[in-house]
Amino acid sequence: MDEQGKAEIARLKEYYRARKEAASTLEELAGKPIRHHFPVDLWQLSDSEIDGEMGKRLSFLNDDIDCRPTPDITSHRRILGPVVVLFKKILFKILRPYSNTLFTRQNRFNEELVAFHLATFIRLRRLEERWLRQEQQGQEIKERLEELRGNQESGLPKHEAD
Amino acid sequence: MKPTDAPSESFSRGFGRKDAAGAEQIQSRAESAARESGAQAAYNLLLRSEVVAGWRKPSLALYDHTLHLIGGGEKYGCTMAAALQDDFDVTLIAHRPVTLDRLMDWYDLDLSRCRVKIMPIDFFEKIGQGQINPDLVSDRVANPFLAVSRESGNYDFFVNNSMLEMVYPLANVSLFVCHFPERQRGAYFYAQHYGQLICNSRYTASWIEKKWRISPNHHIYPPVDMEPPPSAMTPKENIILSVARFEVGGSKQQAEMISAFQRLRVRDARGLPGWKLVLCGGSALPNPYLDRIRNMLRAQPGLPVELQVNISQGELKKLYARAAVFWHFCGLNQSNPAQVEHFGMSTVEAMQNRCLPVVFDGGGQREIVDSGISGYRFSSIGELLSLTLKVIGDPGRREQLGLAAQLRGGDFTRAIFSNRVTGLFKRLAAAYAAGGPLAGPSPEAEQ
Repeated sequence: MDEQGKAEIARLKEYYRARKEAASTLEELAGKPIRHHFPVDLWQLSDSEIDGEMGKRLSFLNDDIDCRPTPDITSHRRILGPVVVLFKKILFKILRPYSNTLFTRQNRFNEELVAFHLATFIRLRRLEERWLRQEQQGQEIKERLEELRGNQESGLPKHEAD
Repeated sequence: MKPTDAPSESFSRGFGRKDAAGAEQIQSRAESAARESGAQAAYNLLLRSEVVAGWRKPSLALYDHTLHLIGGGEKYGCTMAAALQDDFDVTLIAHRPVTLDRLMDWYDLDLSRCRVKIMPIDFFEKIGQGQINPDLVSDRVANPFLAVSRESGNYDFFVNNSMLEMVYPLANVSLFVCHFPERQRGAYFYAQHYGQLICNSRYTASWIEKKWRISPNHHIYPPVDMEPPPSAMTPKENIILSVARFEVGGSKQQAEMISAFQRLRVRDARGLPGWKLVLCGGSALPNPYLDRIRNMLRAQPGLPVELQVNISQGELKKLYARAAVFWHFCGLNQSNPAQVEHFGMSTVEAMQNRCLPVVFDGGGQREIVDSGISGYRFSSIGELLSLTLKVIGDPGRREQLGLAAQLRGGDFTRAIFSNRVTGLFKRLAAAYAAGGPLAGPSPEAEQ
C-alpha cells in the first residue's frame, strides 16, 4: 500500500505544484490578504538611516520630475474598441501642445526643486561631517588635557601611578 | 511570536494512515485546503503527509542572499546546515554562484550531505548593481525576492538566514535568523510572518523589538571555533592585535587604532619598547580606506604597526596564539546601532586564545566580555589607553585575565552552537512529523 499511497501523493503534488506555479500574486499563494508595505516612521530613524532615506526619496523625486501624462489608451468595448482608441489617441495628440505648455512649466519647477533639495542635502552632509570631526577633535583634546593634568599631579606616567 | 494552531489542525488525523482510505482522506483534505487557502496550502499538506507517513526526512532550505561572500552571518548559516544535514534534506539557496567545496573550505565545515541551488535575480543585474542590495527595493518596483518566496514553498522547512525581511515564507515551518535588523519596517516587510525568529545576541534582540515590534523566540550565539589545541599554546608576545574587516566606510576604525597606539607610546614613559600593533583583516579591492591606512603608516615609518591583509586561517590562528592583547573599536563614536558590533566573533576568537580583550563598551561586546574579569571594556580612547597601559604594566594580571577570557570564550564554541541548533530543530521536526499543530506567528504579529 505504501507504494500506491506514495504514487498518489506524488501525483497530487505535481498537480498542485503546477497550480501554485500558475499563481501570479503572493496573496494567491498564501491564500490570504497580505500587507506589503509599512509607512516609514522618520522619527525612529538613526542619523545614517535618515541619510539613506533622504537619498532614496530624492531619487524618487528625480524620477518623477517629468509629470507629462503618458496614458495607456485602451478600450473595453469589443467591436467599437479600436475606433474609440483611435479617437482618444487623436484627441490626445491634438490637445498635447496645450497641455505641454502647462506641464513644461511644472517640469521646470520640479527640476529646480529637486536640484535645490539635492544641494541642501549635500550641504547638510558636509556640515555634519565637519561637526563630527570637530566633536572628535574636542574629545581628543579633552582627553589629552586630562592625561597631562594627571601626569603633572603624579609626576609619573599614569600606569605607573596605578 | 506565540505558538498558534496550523491552518487545518484536523488534517493531522489522516496523516499516519498508510492505507487506501488514508490516501483518499488526504486527497479530500488537499482539495479542501486548496479551496480554502489556495494551491500552496494543498501542496504543503501533501509535503507534510509524506513526512508524517515516514516516507522521507523533512526537506529544509536555508536561504542567504550573500552566501557567495565570506562572512560571519554566512558562517552562522552554514554551521547550522552542517549540524542539520543528517536529520534533514538540506538545500542552500544562493543568488550568485558558490560551490559546496568553497563553503567547506571557507568555514572548515563538512557540508557534504547538503546541496546548493543558485537562483539568479534579474532585478539587480538590470540596474547595473554588482551586489544584491535590498536597500534598492522600494514599493515603486515589484518585489524581486518573490521568486525566493515561491521557492520557499517547495520545502517542509525554510530558514531565512539573510535577515532579508522581503521574503515571505510559504513553507510549513519557517524560521527567520536575524543578525541585526538593518532596515526599518517598510516596503515588502514580511519578517512577522515567520513561525520562529532566532537572533544572535541580546543586543540584536533589543533592536528587533524596537525596530520591528516583534519578539525573537530563540537566542543562539554564533559559533566560534578558534580554540587552539593544547599543544599549540605558545608563550605570549608583546603584540596588540586587531582582527576586523577593512570596511570601505571605516566602521571598524583601524585608523583610530593607529592614532591611539601613537598616543599610547607617548603616554608610556619608556615608549612601549618591544610592543607592536598588528592590524589584521580581510579587504576587497579596491579599498580607499585601506589605502588611507597604508598612507598613514607610510608617513610614520618608525611606528611599529604591521598590516596583515587577507591572510590565511592558519596564519590568523598563529597570530591569535602569539598576541597578548586584543583591541576592538567597532561602535566607538557611532550613533547608528547597526555600526555597533552586533555580537563580536573576533573578540571571542581572541579570548579562546588567551588574548586579553580590551574592547568598546557597546553592542554584543557587553555580553561577551565581563569588564575586569575576562577582559576590559572602554567608552573612550582615554579609557582604552589607561586600561591597555595597566595590563601592559602588569604581566601577572594580564595572564590571570587572559585565562579567565579563555574560559569565557569556551561558552561560544561550535559544539555548543550545534547542540542548540539541533535541539531546536529536533523539537520542531518532531512536532511536524507528529502531524499536530505547529508553532506559527501570533495573529497580532501578522498585522
